[in-house]
Amino acid sequence: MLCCVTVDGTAGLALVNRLSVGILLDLAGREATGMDEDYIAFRGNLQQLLEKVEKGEMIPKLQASHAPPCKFWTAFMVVNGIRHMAPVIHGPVGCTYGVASAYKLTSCEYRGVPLEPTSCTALGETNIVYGGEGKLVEAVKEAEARYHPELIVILSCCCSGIIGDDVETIAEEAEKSVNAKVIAIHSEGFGGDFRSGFEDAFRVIMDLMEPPRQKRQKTINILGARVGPTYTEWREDLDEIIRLVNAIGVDINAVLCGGCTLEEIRRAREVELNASWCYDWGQKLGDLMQKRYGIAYSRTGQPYGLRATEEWIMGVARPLGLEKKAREVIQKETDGVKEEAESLRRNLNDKTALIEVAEFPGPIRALSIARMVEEFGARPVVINIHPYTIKERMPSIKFLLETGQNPEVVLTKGIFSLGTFRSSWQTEFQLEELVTEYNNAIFFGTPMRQPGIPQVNLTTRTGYPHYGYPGIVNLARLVESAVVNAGRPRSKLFRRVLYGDRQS
Amino acid sequence: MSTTGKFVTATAEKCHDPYLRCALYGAAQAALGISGCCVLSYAPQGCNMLVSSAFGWQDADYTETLTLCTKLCENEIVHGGEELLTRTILEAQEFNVPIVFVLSSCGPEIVGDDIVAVCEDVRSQVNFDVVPIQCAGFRGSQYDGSDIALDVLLKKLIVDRGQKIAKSVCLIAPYANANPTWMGDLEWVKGVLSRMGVEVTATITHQTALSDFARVSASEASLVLSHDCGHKAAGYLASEFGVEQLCQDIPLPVGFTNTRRWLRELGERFGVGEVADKLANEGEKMVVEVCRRKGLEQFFMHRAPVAIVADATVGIPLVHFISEDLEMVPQLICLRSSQEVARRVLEKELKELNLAPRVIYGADVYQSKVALADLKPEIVFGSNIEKHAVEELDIPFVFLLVSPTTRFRIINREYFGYTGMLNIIEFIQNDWRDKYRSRQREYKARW
Amino acid sequence: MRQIAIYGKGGIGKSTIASNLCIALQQRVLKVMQVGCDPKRDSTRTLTGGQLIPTVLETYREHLRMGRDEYAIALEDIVFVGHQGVYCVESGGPEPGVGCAGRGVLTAINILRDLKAFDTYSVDVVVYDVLGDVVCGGFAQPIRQGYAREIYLICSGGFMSLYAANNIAKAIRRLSRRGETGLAGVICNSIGQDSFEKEVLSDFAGRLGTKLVHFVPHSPVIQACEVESQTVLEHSPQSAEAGVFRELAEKVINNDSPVIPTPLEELSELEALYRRHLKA
Repeated sequence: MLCCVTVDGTAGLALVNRLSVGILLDLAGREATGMDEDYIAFRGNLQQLLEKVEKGEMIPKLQASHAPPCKFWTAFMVVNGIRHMAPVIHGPVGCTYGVASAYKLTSCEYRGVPLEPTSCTALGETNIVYGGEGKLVEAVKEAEARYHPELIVILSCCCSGIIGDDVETIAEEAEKSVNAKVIAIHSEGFGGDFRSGFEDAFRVIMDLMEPPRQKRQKTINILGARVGPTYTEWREDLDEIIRLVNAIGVDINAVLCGGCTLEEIRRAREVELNASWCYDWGQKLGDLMQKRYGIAYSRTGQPYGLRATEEWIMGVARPLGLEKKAREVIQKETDGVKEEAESLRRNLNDKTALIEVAEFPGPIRALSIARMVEEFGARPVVINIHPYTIKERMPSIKFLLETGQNPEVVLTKGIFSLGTFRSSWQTEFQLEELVTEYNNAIFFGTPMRQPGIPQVNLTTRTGYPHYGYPGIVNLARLVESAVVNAGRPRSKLFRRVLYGDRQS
Repeated sequence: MSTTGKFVTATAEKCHDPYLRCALYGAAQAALGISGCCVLSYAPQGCNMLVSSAFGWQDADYTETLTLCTKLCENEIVHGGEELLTRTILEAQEFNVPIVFVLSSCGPEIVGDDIVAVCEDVRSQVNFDVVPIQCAGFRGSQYDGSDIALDVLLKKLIVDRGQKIAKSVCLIAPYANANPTWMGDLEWVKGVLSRMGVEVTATITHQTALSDFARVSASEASLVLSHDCGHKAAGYLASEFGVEQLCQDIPLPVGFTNTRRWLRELGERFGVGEVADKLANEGEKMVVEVCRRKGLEQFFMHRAPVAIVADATVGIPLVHFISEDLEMVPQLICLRSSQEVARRVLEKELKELNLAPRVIYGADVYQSKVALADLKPEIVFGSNIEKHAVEELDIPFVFLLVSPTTRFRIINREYFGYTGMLNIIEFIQNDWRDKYRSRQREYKARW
Repeated sequence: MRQIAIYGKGGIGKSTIASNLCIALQQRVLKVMQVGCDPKRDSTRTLTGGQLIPTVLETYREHLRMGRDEYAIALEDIVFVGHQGVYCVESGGPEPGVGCAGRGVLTAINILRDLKAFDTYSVDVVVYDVLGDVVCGGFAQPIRQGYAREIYLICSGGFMSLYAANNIAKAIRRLSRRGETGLAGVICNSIGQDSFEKEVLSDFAGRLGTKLVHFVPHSPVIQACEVESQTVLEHSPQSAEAGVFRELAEKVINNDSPVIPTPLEELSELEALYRRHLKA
């Protein structure tokens, strides 16, 4: 968790795990009586878990645990991926500086993006009482004068959302007096879960797409990216997707919204097909563009492993009539990683793969990895995928189930504990107990865990992708390392730092 | 050079690219400085990210200090969320903490949820103290939020002893300092006070025990360790308990002159002038010797035109240090805040040093970038925001002294005092050399 | 599709007029929807036989609890078929004294839009019946762009009803500059001072730049219907009062001249206007 996204050096430390004293006491009590199944909160498969969540069961204690960003943060994340965009955040400075330090500055530091504005109306008490619409109009004009953007995005915050400032109308009105295109997103933090921020932002961006002047043959968009500074979006994965797409003779119009331009968005309807970077966030946009503009959408999972990668490529190739070329590419690439695939098969065959990607690099990747390990002969068990995650990612989970993926799932009670949720703290000892139930198991997840079995580190960002064929090489290397180094003791320093001086 | 500088005060611009977070963050900073507390943000989940940042800024330890968030949604805004807040406070009993601070955010404050009443109603049902702090983001910047929280902390937690502890001082707002390891500054202050035989009654707040508050009113004096906030708290202590605020009209102790002046004022007040002089003499001697032995490179400093883009706490004391000791010439000073007290101090400084830089109070990122582009100094003392902002400008050096910074800093290094000077000089020298590092190789080696 | 909003001082009779208007419009073979925008949730009471229908916000709340978003709401759960086929919707809102009723109205109306309620039921006329006074941005939501285009102010001869209407006109002026929204007229719901009311309200409407479009007399029949939770048009279809509402519907349909209102700026002006008629 030290791979933080915040820019304040010390602020990053806030992201390390938190203690729940409650759990400490629980565990101590339980240890005295010998631990049994009572640390398990759920055992079943993904379908069953989904049903429970849908019925309103499995609600984490209060709403006080596991707090990812709000709708405003996620909406901003999407538009942050558009070049020459000036946001006008209709809210106080805190919301604004928050996303500036987390996303904008990190884009500068790590993504080669120049310093772009993160401007706001700096709403104060007076604006709250008397309304902030006038100030907003002026702010849009000032943003134009200061930053010469191609696009101005008005984002509402809690304050403007409650007092009811009409950001959409103001966007329309203000557009008349500036050269930039002006759009507005209702992104008040309380106004929806973090998924809704992505979806609403994409929905609004879709309105920027113009009727196609021409259809561009063998050209696609990649949807659902906001290759900004988040844990789960790796530039290397995107590079691999682009490489594969180009290899079969297909061009990319835009990666929405991972560093795209307004012009690319405008021309997004000229493509033959949309493909997904991350079906979790891209799906809504893909479905909407299909419904509204009749642009086919290749709904495939993440390209983890040979089979999923092949499906991903064919999902693009088939509608474009490029199967032959695609098969050639797949054959050539597969041959190139034969050794690594063999190594994965050797190291995973007949094992139980305990996959836990609760926070990093994300639950959807956990489910993709579950599918991949199955391909190499292991039995996947997904552990501690947070019920909030299931709730907020319902459409993606349903998509997985539709495509026949229904892995075993185990949740331990720690993820329901009160407090700011940091999985490895709250559930570490439960996880350590859980692994003893399985023979011949291998753990996929963060090194912040110390399960005492071979452990595949999914968190390194050493410049290798997980996706596609280089992904196979990389994952084979990580799995091999897990097996080879299984016997080595884990660091006592790390353990004491993470969990204090208590022992399991 | 004229003595009348051009003072540009940030008007209430419509479009603002802020350097500062909001009041909720400042309040969380103040509250999280109390060891073993729980901070409950009555807010949507995004605001909890601010609390997490404050948690990191205070070096809080998750094995003792806890945070909770009510994750407010549409439902609680439309129908009111007092019931959810009550439930969350009750649940916090699980944590077994002595005190829970309830911080309210924009949403509930606009719809009029009464957190004070909720805390009052629930108090009898819980085994800890519940302290509400109304610090919605729209109430102002992080410094305003900090002042709001300090006010609540002092009024709620201080017990009037009526008796003074001889030669004692309480320290205020050490965290409101853009040195990313400001704990070093705090340690230095405590160190010199200890050499002077002055007792620190309490630090408000950093790793503060609740019991420390019992000694605050017994302090003879207070020292505000920030030019950005904390003066209201000091004023309250002065009027309510006769706690005299020291060193309020001079810059914090960075550089020879500032440090000596600051030490001397303390020395005089506590009747240990000799100790103060000794500290200053020894310190200066040490700095001189170290610079001589290590080989201080001063070539690039002499009369270099400089911009300072910082908070007032780092920015104002730097003026004397870099112009007097390092021979640079400040051309531009952009301060993130615009406190009246801080302005007075800076204006006095500029007069004393016969400097007339352009000064922008309450600057935003746009204003500082435009001013930098306009004045084109050679050196910027700032953060990596300025580093990126000036990338396309012909400005050779940005010395990264101020937050935010992406440098990982695990050792606390002060800017105050004598080792502080050396720390700053070391940062400067490294950033200076960095500029000349080869970015690419001319040819490939054969092996 | 015509979108009409009814505003006016609290207790002036907005819901009564709205419901009767809806029935009258429906009887002209139009598909009509009445949207109650008030946490009291009783706007459509006379269209549903006195039953209070589940509100949009209530249903939404339940969905949120279950972890679903607004798009998971089925229209059948929030749109109800009332008497004579008038579609009935109640926004709902918080208990008095807590939360944010304005935000509630705003949210409920956005949900209707996002779920495409009007298209789905091929509605010809939507009538928004909005809480007493415009107090914050949320209550102005029904007259924002994309929603109600024609706004009627309900007044009586009581001075405060003019005062409220004038304030609402100020809000309409602000919003109508932007879009196609406008003030369509003043409707009098009489308190029994017929000639005085007609005079003062005609004058007042004229000052606003519009007309007194209709006069609903003070009548025991209407009150009786109210108690029976029925519209006049159903309870006493043959009555003169029923005719009044049919006429209103006729006028509303033919009214094609919403204007940007010109409200009186000062309270003293309004007082003077009222005083003048009082003396006469």
